[in-house]
Amino acid sequence: MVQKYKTSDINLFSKINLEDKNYLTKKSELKPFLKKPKSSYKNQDTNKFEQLEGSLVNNDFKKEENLFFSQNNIDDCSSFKKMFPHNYKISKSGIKKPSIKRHVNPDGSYPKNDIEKHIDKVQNIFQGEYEKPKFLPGGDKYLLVEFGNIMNLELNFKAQGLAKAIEIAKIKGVYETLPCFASMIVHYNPDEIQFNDLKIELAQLVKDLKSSEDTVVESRLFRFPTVYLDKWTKEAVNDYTSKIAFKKPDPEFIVELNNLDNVDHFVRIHSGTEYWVASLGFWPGLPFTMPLDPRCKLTAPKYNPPRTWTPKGTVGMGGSSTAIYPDKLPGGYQIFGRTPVPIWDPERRFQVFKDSICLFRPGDRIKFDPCGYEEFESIEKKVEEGTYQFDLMENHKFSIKEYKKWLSKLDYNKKF
Amino acid sequence: MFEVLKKGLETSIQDYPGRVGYLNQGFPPSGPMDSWSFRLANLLVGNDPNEGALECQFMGPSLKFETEHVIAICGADMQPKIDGQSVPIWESILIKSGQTLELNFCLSGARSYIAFSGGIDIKTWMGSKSTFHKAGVGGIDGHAIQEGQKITLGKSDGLVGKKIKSDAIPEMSKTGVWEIEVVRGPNDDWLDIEGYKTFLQAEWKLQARSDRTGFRLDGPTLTFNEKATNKSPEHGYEPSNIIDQGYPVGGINLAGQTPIILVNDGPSMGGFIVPYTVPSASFWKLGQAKPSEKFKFKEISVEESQEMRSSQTMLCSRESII
Repeated sequence: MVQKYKTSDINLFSKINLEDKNYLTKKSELKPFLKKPKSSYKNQDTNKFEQLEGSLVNNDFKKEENLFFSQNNIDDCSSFKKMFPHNYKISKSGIKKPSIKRHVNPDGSYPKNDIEKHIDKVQNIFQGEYEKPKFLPGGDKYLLVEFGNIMNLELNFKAQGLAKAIEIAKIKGVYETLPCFASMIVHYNPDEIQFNDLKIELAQLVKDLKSSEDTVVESRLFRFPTVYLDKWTKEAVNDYTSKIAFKKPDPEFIVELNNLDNVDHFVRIHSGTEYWVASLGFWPGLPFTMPLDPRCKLTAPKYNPPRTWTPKGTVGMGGSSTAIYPDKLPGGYQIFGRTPVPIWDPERRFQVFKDSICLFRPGDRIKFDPCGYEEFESIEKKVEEGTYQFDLMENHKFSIKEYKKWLSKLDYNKKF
Repeated sequence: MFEVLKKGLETSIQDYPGRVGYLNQGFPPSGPMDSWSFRLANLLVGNDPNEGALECQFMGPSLKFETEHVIAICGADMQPKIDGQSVPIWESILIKSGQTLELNFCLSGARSYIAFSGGIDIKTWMGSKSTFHKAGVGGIDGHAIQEGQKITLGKSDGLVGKKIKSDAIPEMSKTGVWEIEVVRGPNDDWLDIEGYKTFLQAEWKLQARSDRTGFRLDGPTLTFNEKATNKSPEHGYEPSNIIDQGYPVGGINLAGQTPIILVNDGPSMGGFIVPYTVPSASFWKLGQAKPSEKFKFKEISVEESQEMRSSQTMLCSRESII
């Protein structure tokens, strides 16, 4: 698959470590570019870049012999390295740290879903699906279909697949559906279809669903420059602790809960993976996402009670889901970063909002690139002026089969 | 046409049933909180019951009319006056060019609806005239009405003196306690038996921090099943945490230990459990409840909630107008 690059992608390209052999097989081709300072890239250079990138991407994909999502290794981002130096040393005690802190039940036993066990890790990731989906009522005109009690890509494919199947089947009386990670809401008109009849219809559609194994979907990749451990979310958290309830600052809280070294370690993990947009909800355009690299899966409880305000563009997580707040909003996620890039635009000032005022579609992917205040402010200014170019790659394909292959090749002992 | 002299407390244009079909992009339906009174107001002035009208909350607006119009006010009693003279609610009335309609604080109920014969002439947004004030979309420029704004109305051809059959008028609570029907679910096995029992037996106080996005309740602590404490970590470890899911409108969201009823402008998705849902036919009571008033919940079945809905739809028809 040849990835077409745009002017805006040059910024991205400049982040790639040019010395890295994984990226550049033919160093000679690069010479003319290496000499030029970054700032001299103009539009006419784009073509050359396209050729160069095209050949690289081609080679890459020939090796893989299939299309797939091409998540950069965490080590590839030079800007990232500078900000949060890597630490490959195994912790001094030599004790392997579990990736997720276990919840201990009142009787001292552990939850059944034991993340610490390394046996058959990949298998574990795909457990938690019910034999038969549950159909649960939500008042007089909503129904919740629950496929399982775990967050994984397969269940989300199932929810999205059922949404599509319902659309195609045109079930009488169904207004709309709202798929999420492991479940979906069906909004129906009880004058036209009874709850029990709807259950039967849906059960049939679920039965007929094709295995997600063979599904290949369009998946765009967005890169979001993000200030981690920023002053704005800190202010919101301080405001909460002073007015509503005391709590540990969110990043430190996540570090403690997930047994991480420190907040920098947390940032490396959180920004070390692409996130899969499973659904939009809570507020117009707000993406609910899950990490594609299981080694970057963290956990955090939601606020109790919820926060009354969150800065616009805040990046936060709750459970193992990460979200971006499209506006200044109340919220329940632990918060730790902020991006200047708008994710919804009712005035449609930017080209990417031509089809919808919400930026994301389910199946998109997001990568958070740690940045400093200076970059944040410069982007913020461009957004204000309406000249900001979204960092977006289209025409990517994503397949569950390939994703599983990738999972099986991962080094689960790698430390971020 | 009329001019807004005083805007009241977040008075907004709504239509029924609001925006349908955009849940999966994160848009709530909006629309009137008390759709019963809303539809009756439209029917009184000869409109389709779904037509756009004004929702006034707690403190109504003052509107100066530039054309003669048939209007009707239904719902909360905000002591409406035309040029200082009291006018009845639940009845179609005439307002002449140059006259001012003034609404005040609500005496009974909390939300009052002003319908205009011929409807409100604004562009629809995502197929609806409803305002989603918090997000700044729909209605006029996305917000509640503003002082100095001039709002255009459709052609008035309604009749004056139309009334509603007495048994079709919703009855406001006189004691400050509202009995609200609820259907158990979607998360029907997360609380323990004691937890569901406590929920139904308690009197819940409506917090002042309640608006068209959510009604927060004060009450006892609820207890949970093993399912809520023994779960995979991606739920979040607090017992009320669940892997993020879609919320039904009317879902009673248990955020930590604070139940929040998600109403018309509420979030469509999130990571807290929803042990009960308020069915659409009981929504009018939420719309008419004031902060500090009490809710008592009564569990009914899905079928009963759907019957309630049908009979309410029957009442919101021309049959009820005399």
